[in-house]
Amino acid sequence: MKKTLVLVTALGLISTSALVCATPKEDQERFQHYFETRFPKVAKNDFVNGVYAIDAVARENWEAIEEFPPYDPAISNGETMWETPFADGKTYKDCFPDGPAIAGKYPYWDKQRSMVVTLPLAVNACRTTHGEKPLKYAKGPITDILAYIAFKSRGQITNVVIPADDPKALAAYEKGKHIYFARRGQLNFSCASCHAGNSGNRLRTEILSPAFGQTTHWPVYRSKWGDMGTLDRRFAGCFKQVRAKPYKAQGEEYRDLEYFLTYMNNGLPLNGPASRK
Amino acid sequence: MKPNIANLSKVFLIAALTVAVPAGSAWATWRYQAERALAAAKAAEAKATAAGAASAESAQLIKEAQGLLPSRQYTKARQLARKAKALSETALQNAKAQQPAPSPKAKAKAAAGPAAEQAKAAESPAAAKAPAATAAPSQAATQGPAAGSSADADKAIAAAELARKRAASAGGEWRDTGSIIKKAKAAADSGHYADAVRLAEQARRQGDLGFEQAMHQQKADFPAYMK
Repeated sequence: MKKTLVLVTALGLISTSALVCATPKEDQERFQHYFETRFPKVAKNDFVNGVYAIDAVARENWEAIEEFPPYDPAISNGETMWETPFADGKTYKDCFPDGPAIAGKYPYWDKQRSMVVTLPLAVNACRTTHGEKPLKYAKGPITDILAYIAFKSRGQITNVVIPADDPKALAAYEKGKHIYFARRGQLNFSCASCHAGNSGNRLRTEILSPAFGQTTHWPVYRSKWGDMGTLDRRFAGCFKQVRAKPYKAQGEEYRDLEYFLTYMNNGLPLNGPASRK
Repeated sequence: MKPNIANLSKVFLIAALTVAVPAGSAWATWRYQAERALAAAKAAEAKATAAGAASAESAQLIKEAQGLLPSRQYTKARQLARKAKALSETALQNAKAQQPAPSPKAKAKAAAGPAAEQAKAAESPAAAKAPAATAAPSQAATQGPAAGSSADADKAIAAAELARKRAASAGGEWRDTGSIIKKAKAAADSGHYADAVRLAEQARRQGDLGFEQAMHQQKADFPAYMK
């Protein structure tokens, strides 16, 4: 009897510990399992293609577009930017010695600065270090350099790490998670309202894409924009669509959101830049 | 030699606990961090209370955060405490911003004639403190004389702006609230006071709803269908 009590108490302790401290890893498994169950016919790596993984007709059109990718000029411009020295004679290579194939390293938690560092933020940090003006984060030249880096990073595997030795990293992750799941705006939608519970359903003429895979392919040439745009541009667009005031591009909120969402996509290959409707 | 099952289970349990307990706590915020955040929130609340701008929501959040400590939910507790602190600070800031330093506009109105008295009433600390201090910031704006005067418009716009800031402080500002306030100001500037009051009231309502929504969503997490 005594042994049984000890056993039950110990197992209780273990399970309570797991419940109180639901880890990001558990969230990630739950997240990926949800989409893999919701779309059982989609191969895991095909989620990187967004709505085209679940909509055959749209995929046919998209594949035709991809024969002459509309983001090609951005890659070329980005290559020129990468090679062109700054006013001080240095280049992006001086900031990113492993570059240009570095997209897989972002976003990451910078323990010293206690913040999430994204690729666009790192690009601008490089520019300002070498006396150049920072680029705007939503569209324009930043999408060129990001497109070139993304193109060179194709095939790298998403592998965001949340360091266990820094609770602030977990707090940033939790904040991003909260932003993802909190309903907002006049229409009272959360990101998950469209891209989790209603993914695969129609919203007017469009089929809503699954959240799984949404961070792998940025920057994107979007037909609606007629232009390239960053993930922050898309975040802001979603916020506006539900009639919420968007956060500042590359502010703490969107960086934390990217941290959470990219962590959810760990294991998926990078396939940017991409084209979308 | 037969394996002793009792010994084996003991070894297993010790090993499992040795791994599970540190692995679990490694992800967690430490208790002292949650307590520190709570102390900061309480200090901010005390300051706001001293300035007559206590926020009921802030007090509620502090209470909730405190309640989470026994169950060791330190990350959540710290998150709530930080929100409480932000709310108290915003309430205090709003209260300070509404101190009765007469603006040049008010001075000009005072020189202009009888509307001066109404303008002064609209800018009185009592009228202005209420929005920052309570959950019903705009009630003051909806009371008083019938809409249509410059003072009414100013009062309604001030209430709308406070409601907008309050929603923003909780991360719940809606897309159009700011632009509706701009339209209300433009209407007031062109003398269309009734329109200005109507627009400001619409913006104020959006601010209140945005704030309520953010409060309601503060514990948002994975939805049940994903669990």
